[in-house]
Amino acid sequence: MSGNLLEVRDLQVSFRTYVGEIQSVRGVTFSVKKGEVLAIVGESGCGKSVTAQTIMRLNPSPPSVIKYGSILFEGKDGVVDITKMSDKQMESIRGAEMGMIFQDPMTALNPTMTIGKQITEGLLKHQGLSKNEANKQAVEMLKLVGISNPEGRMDQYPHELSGGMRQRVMIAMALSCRPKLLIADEPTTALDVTIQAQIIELMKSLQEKTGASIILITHDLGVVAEMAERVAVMYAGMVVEQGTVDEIFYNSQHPYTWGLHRSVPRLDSNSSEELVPIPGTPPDLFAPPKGCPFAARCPYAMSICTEEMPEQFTVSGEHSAACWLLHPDAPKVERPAIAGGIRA
Amino acid sequence: MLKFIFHRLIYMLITLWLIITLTFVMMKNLPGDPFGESSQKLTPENRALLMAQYGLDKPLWEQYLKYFGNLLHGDFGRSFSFPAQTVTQIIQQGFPVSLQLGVVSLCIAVIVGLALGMIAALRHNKWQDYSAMFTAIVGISIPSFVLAPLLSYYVGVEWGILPAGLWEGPQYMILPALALSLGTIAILARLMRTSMLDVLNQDFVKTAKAKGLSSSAIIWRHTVRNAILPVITILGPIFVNIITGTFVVEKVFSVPGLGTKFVESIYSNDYTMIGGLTIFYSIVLVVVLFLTDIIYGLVDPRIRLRKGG
Repeated sequence: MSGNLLEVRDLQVSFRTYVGEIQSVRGVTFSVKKGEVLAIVGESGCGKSVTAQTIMRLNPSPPSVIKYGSILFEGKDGVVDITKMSDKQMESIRGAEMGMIFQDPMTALNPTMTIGKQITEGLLKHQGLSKNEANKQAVEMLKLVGISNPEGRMDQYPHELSGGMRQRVMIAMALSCRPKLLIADEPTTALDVTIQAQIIELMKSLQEKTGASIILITHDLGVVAEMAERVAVMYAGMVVEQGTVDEIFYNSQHPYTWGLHRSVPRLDSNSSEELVPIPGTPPDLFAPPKGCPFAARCPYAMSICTEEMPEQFTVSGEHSAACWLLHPDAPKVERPAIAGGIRA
Repeated sequence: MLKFIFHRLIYMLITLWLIITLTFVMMKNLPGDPFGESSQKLTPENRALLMAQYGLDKPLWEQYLKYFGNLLHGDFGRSFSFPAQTVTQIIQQGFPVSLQLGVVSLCIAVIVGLALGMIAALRHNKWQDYSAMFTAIVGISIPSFVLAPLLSYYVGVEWGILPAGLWEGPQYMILPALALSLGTIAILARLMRTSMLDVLNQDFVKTAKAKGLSSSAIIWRHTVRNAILPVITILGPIFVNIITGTFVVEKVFSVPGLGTKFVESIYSNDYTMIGGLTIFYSIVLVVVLFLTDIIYGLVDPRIRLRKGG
């Protein structure tokens, strides 16, 4: 695994429904190094959440099926393939070695259970602590995530806490057993902007303290720039480009990544300039196109783009993109300056 | 919590007062009188005498005040049709039987109904789900007045497994309780299934799974407690429904309960009986609803906190 905590290889996940098979994830490959923050970005429905939940095997099956690929994870007992684990084996990995934070803290906590009970549940299950020890550790965790009066909070119910507080509780819960991997599925999307910044700060500092790796799923490029070291850009169930934050922000190669950058407002842009949305909609994953999924919306599409799926072209080191423009025979296209061309 | 209970208590008393007054007014507006107006045997003098004896010749407001005053002492008055007994005595004889039958039916209905609903939800769209829901449809469609004679005849008479009627011991309860609970089983099963499916799709169930909890812990600790909330809400009315719904079943199985008495009193314009039984059942209903509210508050912490209930 050479320093990698997690390696996802050619993962394909589908959902079987009455009307057909939705190919949500179509061959995703990426890895997460120990102690690093990897961001997965992309628009709604691109398969980023499905990928994340498949890593923890949280998608109910049926209807979801892992069709192909492997998810290698370096756990306590050596490297295991998550896709081949039994449900029972997964129980000892979930919560103990991988934690997850969900998008909406308003609904992700059980409304009829006290905060304390919800945090200690995992501790009691995985660490074999006594009730007293678990309570003590839960209070420690609440303190760690910056909740005032942690002892008092233990007996409170979720509805007595604000959204930001609840997300802190979620983080405390996910990290209570000191997992090596934390998956944060749009952890700030449902929060106020001011609270978003606090939660990002908190996650950054906890990541430094615990050394856990984080997979951060988001569609907010601002959050990516703030937290991540590497980025994988997903589109229509595939990783279309991945690289370090600098590479994705300042030297992106895929027209979809350019489109993402152009649709985000910038502080240094002229206020009269309009944002440029990406025209069209993502392809139907019931029947994905055989060529590049972005070809129909891509201003640079060539005839080969609709015919054949581009391979991952290596740009440099770990920076790669799946775009025919990177083929040596392709015409040279000037990267639009606004698409992250300027170094801030 | 105390404040919550106090507020509920006040509401309960107001409700009871309204019910008593309304019952009184409606009863007085029923056509006919308790001594059989078409009966020729009573001379006008005797009728007037009887009216005076029962205080029916006084102005309405005076009757109302007297009635209300008596009620406060737990006195429902004397039955017009069975002058040897007070309404209170009749209730004391009949109600324990109806209550026993009702409680046993309710227990059967809750246990079987919730179990069916949970199984159906956990095996959603599998054969267990389909068969549980088929049972539920059958249970809702067959009225108790069809089921009760069938049970009594086949199980009681033809096969002789259980007593076909009367009320002389625990084994006499089984058939009427079954007949009475089937419809409720069906209602509870469907409600629990919908509610469970709803909760199973909630985010916090995913959170629980992400913690690595076993599926039984997820189901019992996180799903059932939340799914049971809507069931608790309707338990109160369902309970009252069951004890008042015993009319037919009591008749079929010759159970000496309160239901039969109620129907008879309406036919014979027995004011004190109608009034007494209506108010008595109202008290039962209101008390049960009050208890339901408290249980609801205990199970769902969000209710407890709301100011003023």
